[in-house]
Amino acid sequence: MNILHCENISFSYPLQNGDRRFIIRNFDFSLNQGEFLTLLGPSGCGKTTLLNLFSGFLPADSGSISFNGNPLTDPFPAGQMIFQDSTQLLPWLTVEENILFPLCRRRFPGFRISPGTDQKEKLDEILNLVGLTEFREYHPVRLSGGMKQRCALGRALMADPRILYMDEPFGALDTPSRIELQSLILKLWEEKNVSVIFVTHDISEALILSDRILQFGSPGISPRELPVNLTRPRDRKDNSFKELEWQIYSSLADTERIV
Amino acid sequence: MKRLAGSSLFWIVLLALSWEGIYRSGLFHPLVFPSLVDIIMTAGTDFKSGELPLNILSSMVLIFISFIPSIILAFLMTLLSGLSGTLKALFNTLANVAHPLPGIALLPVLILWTGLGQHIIVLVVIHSVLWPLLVNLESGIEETPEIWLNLGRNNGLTSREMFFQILLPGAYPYLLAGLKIGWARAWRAVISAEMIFGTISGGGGLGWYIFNKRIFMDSPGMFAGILILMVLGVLVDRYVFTPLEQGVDRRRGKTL
Repeated sequence: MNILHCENISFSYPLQNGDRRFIIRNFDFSLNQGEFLTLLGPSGCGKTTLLNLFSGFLPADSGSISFNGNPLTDPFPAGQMIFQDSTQLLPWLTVEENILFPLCRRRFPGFRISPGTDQKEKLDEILNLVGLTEFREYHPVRLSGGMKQRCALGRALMADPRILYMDEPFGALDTPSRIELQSLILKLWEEKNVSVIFVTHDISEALILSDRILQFGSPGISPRELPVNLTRPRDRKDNSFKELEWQIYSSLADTERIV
Repeated sequence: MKRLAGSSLFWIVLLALSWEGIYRSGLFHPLVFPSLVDIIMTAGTDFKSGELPLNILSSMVLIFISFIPSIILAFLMTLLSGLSGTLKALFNTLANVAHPLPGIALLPVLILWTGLGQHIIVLVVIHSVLWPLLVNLESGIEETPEIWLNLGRNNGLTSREMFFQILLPGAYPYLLAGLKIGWARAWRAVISAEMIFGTISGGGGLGWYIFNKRIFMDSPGMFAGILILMVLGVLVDRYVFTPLEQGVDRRRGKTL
């Protein structure tokens, strides 16, 4: 069952000399319902651009993208974007107001929000899931980097997403917070049965998380599909894990030599 | 000693003492350089007689009733700029032309067009508050991070919600800065306008108070008026703007 489907899409950025730099050319792809997909590759290879195409933030030059069979032209609440940048939370709202944002907002600046009973229940559940119950009254400025990302994740969950688009969400975090958040996203993915499209340049992160990897080489050349057939929960110390990690590592090194 | 020199109280006391020292040196005639004691005494008497409170109130009320339409106008213009690029260009041009223009320079034109009356002062103050407020609001909205706009798009916010939920609260620190500049400018405008024709209104205002004292060669009273102006400025800054700014800092952190 496809949740996201794209046919023959191309996208290019204009260059200063009048040429166009193709990021993706005549690309076909389908995302399965409940699949965890990772876009992996070095910076500047077009991962974020493809994520923006998949989420409706950027229109493709040609070809068609559809979500649940409907053509995708604009960003939509069921496809929630989570960014790397810690400024994605609104600084004038508390943690709980930020999380409620997709469903319940202030009527005018300075007013108090008035969530319904079911929204309150949902808020409590999400706060508990992302572990921010004690910090619900805090403003984002007082949260650590990891807590901010958990808050952004909570906000995305509030919208009942079918797809989570995550653009290097843990890129700015230290290793322990990173590992903690990786387990959290896996837990949420299993519980909520959402599909995830996850952008990263970290090979082991891609291997820990995903069902399938789209490995980017140089721009314009379609990314390589790579199924990850490792049993879950995955273990970084496992031999098959290490072998796959090394394979991807050497193929990435290869593409760099070609460029 | 170093800590002492860092406090403003220390400098106020030092300045007051040197003022009094200069007075006592006898270098200047007391009419030119009155004693601080006389200045404060005059302020005290005029307070008791009701002359000063009435004048302060009169100036404050003028500023207050001019601030409200200025704020509403600035908000409306910002809203309209968001809706139409043409209007935005018009308002930008108007702001660029009118922003550096001193309100007092408009007095003759305003009198010619609208006749004499207290409304003239209100119009001059509106002119001095509106433009800095508008310029600040506009730049606050222009500085809205792309990521917040994307958040709005992602959750299907209408353009009305986009304005009230994201653009306006995002621009709040800029609005505050605009109000602060507007307040300082309003004071200047009110005092100058009152000096020119304060008697139109009942109280006359602080500007008229200072001017009037000069006419009657009451130097201590003249300085008392200036002193009151300074004190009021400090008080408003301390009890109105500082708490608001601290609120923003507490919620959003020092860096925006």
